[in-house]
Amino acid sequence: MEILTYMIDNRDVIFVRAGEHIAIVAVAVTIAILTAVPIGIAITQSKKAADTVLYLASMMITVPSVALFGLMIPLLSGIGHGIGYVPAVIAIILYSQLPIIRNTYSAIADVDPHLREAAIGMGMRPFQRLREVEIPLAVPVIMAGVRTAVVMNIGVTAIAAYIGAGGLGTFISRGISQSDPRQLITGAVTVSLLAITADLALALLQRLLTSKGLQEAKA
Amino acid sequence: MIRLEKLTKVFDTPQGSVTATDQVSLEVPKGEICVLLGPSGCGKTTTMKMVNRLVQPTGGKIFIDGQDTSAIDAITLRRSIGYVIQQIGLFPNKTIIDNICTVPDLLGWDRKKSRKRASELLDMVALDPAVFLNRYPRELSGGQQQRIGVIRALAADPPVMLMDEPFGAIDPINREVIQDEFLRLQRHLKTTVMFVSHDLDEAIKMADRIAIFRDGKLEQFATPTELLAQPANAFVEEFLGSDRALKRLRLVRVTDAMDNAPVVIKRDDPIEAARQALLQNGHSAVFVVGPNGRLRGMITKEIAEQSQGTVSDHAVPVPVVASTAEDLRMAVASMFAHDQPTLPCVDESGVLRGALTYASVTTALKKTGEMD
Repeated sequence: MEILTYMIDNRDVIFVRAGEHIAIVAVAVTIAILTAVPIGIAITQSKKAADTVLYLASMMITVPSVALFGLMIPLLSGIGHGIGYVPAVIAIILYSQLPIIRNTYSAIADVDPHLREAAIGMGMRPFQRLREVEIPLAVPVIMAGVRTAVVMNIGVTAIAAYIGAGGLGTFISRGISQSDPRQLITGAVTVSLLAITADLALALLQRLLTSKGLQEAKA
Repeated sequence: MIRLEKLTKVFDTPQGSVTATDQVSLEVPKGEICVLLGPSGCGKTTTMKMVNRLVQPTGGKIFIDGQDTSAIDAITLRRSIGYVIQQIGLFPNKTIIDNICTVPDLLGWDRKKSRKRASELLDMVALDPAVFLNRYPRELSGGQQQRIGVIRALAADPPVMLMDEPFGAIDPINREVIQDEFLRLQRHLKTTVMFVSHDLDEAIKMADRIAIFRDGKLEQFATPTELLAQPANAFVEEFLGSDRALKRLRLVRVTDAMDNAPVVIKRDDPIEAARQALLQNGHSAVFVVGPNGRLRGMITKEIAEQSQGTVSDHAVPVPVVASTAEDLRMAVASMFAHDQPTLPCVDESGVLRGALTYASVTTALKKTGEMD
């Protein structure tokens, strides 16, 4: 009850923090989509390149986020952004690569070779084949990768509060340092709610972007 | 018109080079269907795929309507050639109409015009445009999907069409129907077709010319009749099978094999007349016709020998008849199935036109063999 009262009293701050949180994840994942999808498509051309890229992306994801933030401080201080928004966005771009590259790669590689043959045989250029056939078929799987990236990075962003990036993680870090369970729980609950909401919204977007011809027939 | 000149493909494999197509030369005249036939691995598919350059030839030339295709860029070439594969390959993310209009859209044709043409093509394969245009491939049966696959290949009116075992995955009943439909469509559009098959019966039915392949070499290139009557060598003979005489039945129409002057009798003739007629021509039955020549029944040898009175007292119904338009395979099957050594042949209005006997079938087969 005490916590609920706290949340209601501080709803303005919660909304501002949530806005910061969403801005970091949205900007970073958008940039990640723009890099990871083309990389995922490109590596379908070479098994060796695919193995290398997926290996590097997997390594990336094993670096603890706190350590990554720490590493970026000296690197980015040079341009005056050792802490705050910029390193948070960069970390999330890096963490988002694996799920999006991996899903894009396997979705494009899994396109039925006969569809590819039909497309080539009818005179589609490689780019037309991607646009008309391969990407539309891969959309559901690519979107699943984006959802994974978003949900995962809403969590990572919570930790970015420690490097002054703002966001809902601020409640958690303050809750810990001030031994204030109200702030701690407020932070935890809002971060979870944001993750669930984002996932549902993206599921809806995934459905909208997927051709009706690919959706499961209703029983 | 498609002309192959010493077309050759050598694949380099870790086990050394493999010649998939070896100096193949042949010509498919405009508007004809040429079936490339042979056991698997004989090079027929490789040969076909060189025509739209899905496989790059190692040597030799391909001409389409007199033009050397090596001078045309691959994308332009492919858009001018219809292509149908066994796995159909409809794009599941596109509606039927967008699938059909794939090549017209690639060519940047007027959308209204290409969509109208797509509706016409759907009509031609007996699929109602109003029902099917906006559906997705997964909502169609296999047979319907392959019909769409065929008309998609025809949507941009290509002069030449390549088909890779197009009806191989369709159940036998639907296959016959779709083959007939395709033949009608092809005769109407006068498309030149190169068609890969491993099914001899299909080849005999569809082909104007059959090319038999073995180990990349063209063993024989001939019309179906010529092929069945005069196999060029032992391999072709074995490939055609020992029942190739039976396969020829399919190429002869009843009207060309029947005895044109069967003995007929009227209902009020005496049985004696039937007996005399049977003695004369040695048939197993005489046929009773009405005033306009329509088949009304028959008197078998047994009845004629054991009965007295008039024909109308003893005539029995005919268990089975052949239509003059059908091919001999069906007719001969009926002769055996109903133990009817003399099979009456009627036209579409039921008028008796002739009779098939084992002797007339044999004569007709012999004649087609000699003709070529």
